Amino acid sequence: MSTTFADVAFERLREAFLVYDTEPTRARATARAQRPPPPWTGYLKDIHSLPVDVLFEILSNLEPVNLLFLARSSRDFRALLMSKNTAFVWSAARHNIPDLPPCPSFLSEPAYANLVFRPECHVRDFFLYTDSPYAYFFRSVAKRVALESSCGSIAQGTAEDALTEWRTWAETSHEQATAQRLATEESRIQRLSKILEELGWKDVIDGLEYPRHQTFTSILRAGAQNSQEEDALKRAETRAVRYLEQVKIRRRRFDHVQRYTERLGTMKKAVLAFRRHFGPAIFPLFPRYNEFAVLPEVEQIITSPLSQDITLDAFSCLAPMMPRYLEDWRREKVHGLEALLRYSIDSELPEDVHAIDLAVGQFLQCGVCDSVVDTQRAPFHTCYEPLSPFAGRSDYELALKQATKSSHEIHFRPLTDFVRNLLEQCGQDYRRTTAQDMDQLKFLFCCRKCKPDYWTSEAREVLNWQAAVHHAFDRYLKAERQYHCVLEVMQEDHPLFSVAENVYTVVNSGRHAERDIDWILREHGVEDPIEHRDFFFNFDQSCLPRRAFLYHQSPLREAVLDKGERESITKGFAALVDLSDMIET
Amino acid sequence: MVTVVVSDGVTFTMEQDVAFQCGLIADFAGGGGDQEEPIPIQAVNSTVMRKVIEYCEHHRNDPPQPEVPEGTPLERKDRRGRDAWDKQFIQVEQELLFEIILAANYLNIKPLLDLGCSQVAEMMKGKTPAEIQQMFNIVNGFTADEEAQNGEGEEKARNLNS
Repeated sequence: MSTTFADVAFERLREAFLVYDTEPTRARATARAQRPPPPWTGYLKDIHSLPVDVLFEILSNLEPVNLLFLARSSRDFRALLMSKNTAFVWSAARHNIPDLPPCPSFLSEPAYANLVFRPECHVRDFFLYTDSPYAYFFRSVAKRVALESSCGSIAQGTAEDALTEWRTWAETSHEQATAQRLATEESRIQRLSKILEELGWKDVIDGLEYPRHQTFTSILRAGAQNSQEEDALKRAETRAVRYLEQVKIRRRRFDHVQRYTERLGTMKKAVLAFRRHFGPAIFPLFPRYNEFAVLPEVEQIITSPLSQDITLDAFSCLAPMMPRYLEDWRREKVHGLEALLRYSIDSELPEDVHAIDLAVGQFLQCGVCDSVVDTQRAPFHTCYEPLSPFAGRSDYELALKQATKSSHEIHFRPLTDFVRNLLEQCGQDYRRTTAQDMDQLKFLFCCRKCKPDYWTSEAREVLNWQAAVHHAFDRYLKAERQYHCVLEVMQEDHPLFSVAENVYTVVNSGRHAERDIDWILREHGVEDPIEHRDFFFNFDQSCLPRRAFLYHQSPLREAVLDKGERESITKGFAALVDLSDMIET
Repeated sequence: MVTVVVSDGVTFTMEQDVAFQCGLIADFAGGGGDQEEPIPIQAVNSTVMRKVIEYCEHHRNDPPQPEVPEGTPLERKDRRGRDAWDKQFIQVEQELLFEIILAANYLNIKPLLDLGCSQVAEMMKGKTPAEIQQMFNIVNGFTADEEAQNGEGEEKARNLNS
C-alpha cells in the first residue's frame, strides 16, 4: 500500500520530536516544575525510532476514540491520521469495537468516529452510557438529525439511507451471529455426545427424560460462551458427567422405589385376602396394612434382592401368625389409649369406664399427615415410624413413606375441650358420653365461611358433629378459612337457649367477634346478655385464634377451663410425646 | 541446531523448531537440515536476542498461524491472544520494548510483533490529547485559534452532558 504521504507526515513528526527534545518551551518547563510529571511521561518518546509500518501496526490496535485524541495531540499526528492514505488504520480501529455499524458512505472515518464516540453534539445524548450494540445506532441517528437540522450540510434523504443501511446491517449481523452460535453449539454437542459415549454413558444418555440436545445445550452454555472449543468441551464434559451420575442415581432410586411399592401392594393384597377369608366380624379392629411391613418376616420378604420376583404366595407366611399378631396389637393399642386418656382427661378416671367409651368426643391429629381422627380410630392410625428397622435404607423408606401417610406419634388435639364444654352446658357427663349420645343431642353446625347467608337463607345446610369436625379440618379448605371460619353451634330443642333460637356460642370469630355477637343477638331478639356472653368478650385481640376448633389456642378456653384442667391437658400433651414409654408403664 | 551471531558478537545456538519461528532465519536456512555456518544478525544485540529466544522457546509448540495473504486488510487478520505468560513477558523497560519490536519486525516474528505493538497501544489507550503529548514528549504545534476551537468544542460537550 502506498504510504508516501504518510511517510512525509511521519518525517515531520520525527522532526517535531527532535525539536522538542532540544528546545523545550519555557511555559511547559514552568508547568513541569509546578506539578510532578505522571509516571508515564516520555515513556513513548522513542516511538519515532520505529518504522512507519510498525507504527501503523500499533495504531491499528487502538480504538477510534484513541486515534481521535492522537490526532488532536499534535499538528503532525493530525496530518498523518487525517490523510486518506491512513484510512485503513481507522478501519482497523473501528473493527476493534464489536458490533459497531459500518462507516456510512457520506462520512469519512474520522468524522464517523467523532460522531459515534465523542459527545460533541447539538442534542443531549441519551445513549452515551448504554452498552447495547444498537446504542451506537440510535446515538448516530440522534446526532444525524441534529447535524441535518443545524448544519444542512447533508443532503435530504441521506439520513433515511443511513437508517436503512444500518438496520440491514444490524439484522444481518444478528442472523449471522445466531447461525454461527447454533452451528458451534451443534458441533460441540456432537463432540460432547461422542466423548460421553466413549466414556460409557450411552445407556444413560439414551434414556434422558429431556431431549439430549436441550440438556447438553444448557450444560455447554453455562460458562462456555466465549471460550475456545477445547476449553468449553473440557468444562462441559465434567459438568455432563456429574449430571449423568445424578441421573443414574435418581433413576436407580426410582426403580427401587417402584419395586418396593409393588411389593407393598402385593403384601396388602395378601392381608386383604386374609381379612376377607375370616371376615371383619372376627377382627373388627384392624391395623393399617402397611403396619404389617415392619413385621420381621414380611420385612425380610420385601427387602429381599430386587432381582427376585415376589408374588402373592410369598406372603403366605402371614396367615398362621396373623391371629396372634392381631390380638397382641389390639391389646397394645387399647392399653396405650387408656394411658393416654388417663393423662389427658382426668387423673381420677373411674376404673369401670372403658377407654373406648371414654374416647367419644375426643379428637386426635396425626403429627405427620395432619389428618384428624376421633379417638375410636386413633389407635389404628399407625404406620410409618421414623425409627423403624428400615431407617437408613432410603429406598425402602421412601417407598414406605409414599405408601402411608400417618404416624405412631399422634398429637392430642383438644377438641375435647370444646365438646366437653358443650356437653357440660347440656347437662351431660362428658366422661360417660358416647357417640350415640352425641348423635342424640342433635348438635348442628354451620360454617359461616362456606354459608355466610345461613341465618337469612331458607335453605339451611347444617352439619352434624362428625361432619363439622371433618369440615373444620379439611386440609384443602383450611388455608381459606384460616381467618374466617366461624362455626356456630345449635342444639335443637334445648331449654337453655329457647329464647336465643338455639344460638349457643360463637367460636373463633376473630377480629369480628363483637360484631358477630351483636348481629346474632339483634337477629334473634335477645336484649339481655345471654348466660355465656362473657365468653364473647373475653377474646384477647392480641392472640386471635386461627381456626375453628383450635380451642386450646383460644382465649375462650381461658374462660372455660380452670387452672387444674389446664394442667391436666398440659400433662396429656407431654405424655403423648412418648406414647411408647407410657404403654410400657 | 541453528547458530546465530548477533551484533555484539555473541553466538546463540538453538534448536530448529525454535529458530524457525523467525521468518528471517527460516529463509536463511532454506528450510532444511542443520545450519553449520552461523547466521549473522547485525540488527539485534544479545540482550534482545535472549528475550526473543525466550519467547520462541515458550511458543515452540504453538500451532502455526495461518498464512495471511499480502494486502489483507488489518481488521481481517487474526491476532493471537495474549496469555498470562505473554503479559508478564512484555512487561519490560521502554527501551527494551522498542528494541524487541524492532527485532521482531526484523526477524519477521509476527506474533511477537503483534504482542509488542498491542503493548504500546495499551499504553496509549484512554489518554487525552494532553496526556499523549506528555507521553510522547511533543508539542502540539497548533495555532492559538485551533487550540481555542478545540477547547470550545470540549466545553460545549461538557455543558451538553452535564
